[in-house]
Amino acid sequence: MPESKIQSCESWRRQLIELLLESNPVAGPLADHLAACSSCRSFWATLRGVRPALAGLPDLYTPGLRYRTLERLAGEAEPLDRGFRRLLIPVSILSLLYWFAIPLMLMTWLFDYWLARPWFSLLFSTFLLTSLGFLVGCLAILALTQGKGAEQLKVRMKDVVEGFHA
Amino acid sequence: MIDLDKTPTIRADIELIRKLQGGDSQPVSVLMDRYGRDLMHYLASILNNREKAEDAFQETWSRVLRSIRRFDPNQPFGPWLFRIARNLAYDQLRRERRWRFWFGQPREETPILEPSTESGFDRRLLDRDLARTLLARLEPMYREILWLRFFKDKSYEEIAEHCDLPLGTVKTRLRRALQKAGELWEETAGETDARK
Repeated sequence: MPESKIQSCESWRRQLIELLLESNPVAGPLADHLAACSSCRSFWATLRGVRPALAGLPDLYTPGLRYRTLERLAGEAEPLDRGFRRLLIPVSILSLLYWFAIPLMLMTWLFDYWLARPWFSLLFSTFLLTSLGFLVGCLAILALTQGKGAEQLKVRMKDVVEGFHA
Repeated sequence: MIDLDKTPTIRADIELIRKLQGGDSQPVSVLMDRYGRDLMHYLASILNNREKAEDAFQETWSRVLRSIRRFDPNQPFGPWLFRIARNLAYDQLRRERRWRFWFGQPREETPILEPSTESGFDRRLLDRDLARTLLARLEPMYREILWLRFFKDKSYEEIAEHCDLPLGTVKTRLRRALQKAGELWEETAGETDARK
């Protein structure tokens, strides 16, 4: 194919793209060129095939997908037991008291003499800090794993799945 | 964006969303039936893979439920839903890019956009098949914008709102998508000529 023709086809194709973008019909010299040039005709036909190609995507929203999605949502929305949630805060405070304050007071009272010694103080504070760290870690894990369910407490997806089964 | 023009649908959505925010979970299945088909179609057009589109679909609804209380029911639900889906789809693509960067070979995939298996010599079918092949080879952002323009018949303004892009960028991206398809067509035509 001569170079001049290739160049000219490129410019016609740019015009065809503009036409497609604006959904305008082919007319005038462009229509004449399409009638004469099989390559540009094929190019045009392919680009026009984009719309039916997209429309021809299969319907992927199937009853199976619907069911699986609702089931997954139901699984995610498992709420924390209300009683357990009510108890969570006082139990945390009591645990802190137990793990930190009460032993501290007891130890101070019982081991007044020993606490004056640096090696015992070091050991004792290490034990307290480790215990506290462990407790805070446990509470953080609990909050992270259960928070998601608590947030969705009112979204009782189980009803939806049961409704779906019915 | 999606279905903005369908006012009765939006009104019905408001009622459903208020119920959902009030703790009644039944509306989610109604909303899913209303938007599910379009949403899957949209995700499939970006991800070009059934399993990935289904994962993104499920995650989208999960995110919807987690954030429904923060959603203003007077705003249209469709654009919000599709924006969540879009973010998830592009997150998924970014994860895949990272996977490819570190581990090279991509996981086995079954594309949705591939030539059909319909038999017979029909010119229109052949053009559509070729267009499908080209679409499959396009970048996801180009497939997405072509889907919005040529399948959903969205205006440039609606596409700009949907993709959160300036109007000029939308026009440029659409033009670039078609140019890219044209370049791929030339490559494919070259390959066909070479086989002859």
